[in-house]
Order: sequence, then C-alpha cells, then structure tokens
Amino acid sequence: MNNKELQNFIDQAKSIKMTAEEKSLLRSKLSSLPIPSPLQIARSPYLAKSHFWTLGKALVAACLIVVLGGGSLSYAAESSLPGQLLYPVKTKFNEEIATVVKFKPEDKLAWQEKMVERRLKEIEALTERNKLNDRAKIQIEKNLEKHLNKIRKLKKGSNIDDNPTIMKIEKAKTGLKKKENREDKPKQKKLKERDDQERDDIDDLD
Amino acid sequence: MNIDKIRIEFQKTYDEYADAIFRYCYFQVSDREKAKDLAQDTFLKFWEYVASGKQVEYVKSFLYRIASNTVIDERRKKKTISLEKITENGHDWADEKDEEKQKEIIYEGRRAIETVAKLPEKYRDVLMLRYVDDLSIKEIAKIIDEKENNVSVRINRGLEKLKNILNEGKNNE
Repeated sequence: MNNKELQNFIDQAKSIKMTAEEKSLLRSKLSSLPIPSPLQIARSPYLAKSHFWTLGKALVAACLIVVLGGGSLSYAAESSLPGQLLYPVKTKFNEEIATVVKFKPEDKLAWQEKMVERRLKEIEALTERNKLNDRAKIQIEKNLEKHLNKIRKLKKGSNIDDNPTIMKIEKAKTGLKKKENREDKPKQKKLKERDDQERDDIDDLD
Repeated sequence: MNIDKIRIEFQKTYDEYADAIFRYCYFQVSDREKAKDLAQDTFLKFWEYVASGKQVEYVKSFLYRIASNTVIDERRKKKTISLEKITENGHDWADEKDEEKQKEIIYEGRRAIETVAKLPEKYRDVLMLRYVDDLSIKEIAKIIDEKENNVSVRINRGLEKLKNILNEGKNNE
C-alpha cells in the first residue's frame, strides 16, 4: 500500500460529519439545557428577570438595617475586626440580615462564600496589625465553621471536595489551629468562656 | 463568568467540535444513530461541567476524553452491533441513500467506516485521533489515559493492520 491510498482513506474518514440538519437539531437541544445545579429551583421566568424584584430585595435589606439596627452603628460595625466590641454586630446582625434577604439558593451560596472571604481578610488584617489574639481566633474559627456547614448544606448532593472556598476554610482553620497549639491552654479556656458570656449577653439584647 | 457567557462559550465549542466528536464516536461504534446519541451525551456532560463553574484548560482534549469515557460506558452497558455484523447480515448501504436527510452525507466516508470497523477496538481510537483528528501523541495519551510510549506502539501496530486491511480491499476490487 502506498501513501496515496492511506491519504485517500484519511480524506474519506475526515469527510464524515453530521448533516447540517442533524447538527442544527442537536445544537438547539443543547442550547436550551438548564443549569445543572442541585441548587436550581423552578421559578417564574418573569420573577427571575424582574428588576423590580431585585430592587425590592435591596429595599427590604436597607429598611431592615436602618430600622432594626440603627444605620450608623451598623455602618461602623462593618469595618470592625474580631475581638473588637462591634464585631458581633457585624457578624450576628449585618451579615444575618443580608443572609435573610437572599432568596435564591445560588445567591445564598455566593453570600456564604463572600463571608468566608471577609473572614480571611479579617485574619490578614489582624495578622498585619499583630492583633490576632485568642479571642479573635476563636471568633473567626466559629464563624468559619458556621459558613462551612452552611455551604455544605447548600451544596448537598454535589461533590465539594475540590471547592476552592472549602479548601480555603480548611487551610485557614489549620493555620489558626497551629497558632492555637502554641498558646497556653488554660488561658485559652478562660478567654473562650469570656467570649461565650459576651455572646450570650448580645443574644439577650437581640 | 456568568451563565449567559458560559452558554455562549459552550455554543462556540459545540460549533467547533461537534463534527469531530460525532466522527470519533461513529468510528468507535459504527452506528450513525448511536454516534449522534453519544456525541449528544458528550456535550451534555461537558455542559454540566462548565455550567457548574469549573474551568477547562484544554477544551479539545477534555471533550475527547469525555467522548472516550462515554463510548466505554456505552460498550459496557450494551455491546454495540458492529459494522461487520451489519454487513454480514446483508445491510444495504444503498438504503440510506434513499433518505432525504442523508443527502448531505459524504459517501466516501462509508468506506472509511467499513475499514475502521475491521480494526480491533484498541487501534481504532488511537489511529483516528492521530490521523483524522490530528492530535499529538501526548494529547492522545491524556485522552485514553495511557503512557505516550504505549500510544506510539499502538499507533504503529494499528497502522500496519490498517495497511493490511486496505491492501486486502484493493486486491478484492
């Protein structure tokens, strides 16, 4: 057999394709595929696209923050860091309200991931200022655990082992743990009790 | 990337690789309708992957890998009727010519399918990926999950078998 015959065979093989009709039919089938997420829920196409709906949610969130929380306190708490007085207002009030007004599961998930990013930035900020004390570490760890559980719940049914946010949380928790192990345990326990007491006090206020 | 952008990228990928993936599946199963289903499944799995927000670095290799696994799954599920059996049982290729929708099929491809069907399965994909889809040995190794050396050996042996089949065909004419 010479190369020409082999080339003929290859040319014949390359000529095989779908008909234009078949290709177009398959294309239209694939174009209407839904988002394959377990988080997807059926909803009205009008609601999903409505700007009024989005605007409405933003207004509700804004009203709740202003009316219930007090605008200035809430605003000030946004820049607080773990271990500071206003930090529980940031995590237990501002962020909780924002969580309540997330209706779509994918928005809820995105918000949890954003909160994880906020926690990581807080660690960075505290480390830079050399203020990553035990109390702050415990607060961050508890919050990260909370976000981790919520993400797991929201992503139920799908593989999350390679989820970058989960990996970040685990990495941050390991980092904090290493630092904790170097600390004096009785001192840590005392601080934890004090922190729990403070949280209970804030809960009572709510 | 938002879902609309992902969808646009997905459609571009489909337009670019639909024929190649269909052809790959067709050579593996020697059944046009089955090949269409397998190509559809391949793109469906690809969509599920990209729409969940995951990034694909080498789209071409990734698609072939999905197609390869889809074909393997299909073979495990149900042994596909090979083209040899179809021809042995007297399948008349001319019947397909009568169909209006088949007008656009290039009939030269028929002989290629017949020839490839005579090759053992393990040589089909490597030869087609190398000479018809112009993939590198490295890419093929990735797709079929084999070492590059093994792929090279398989291509050489497959090529010898292909030459013999083509020679036999020539002598019978």
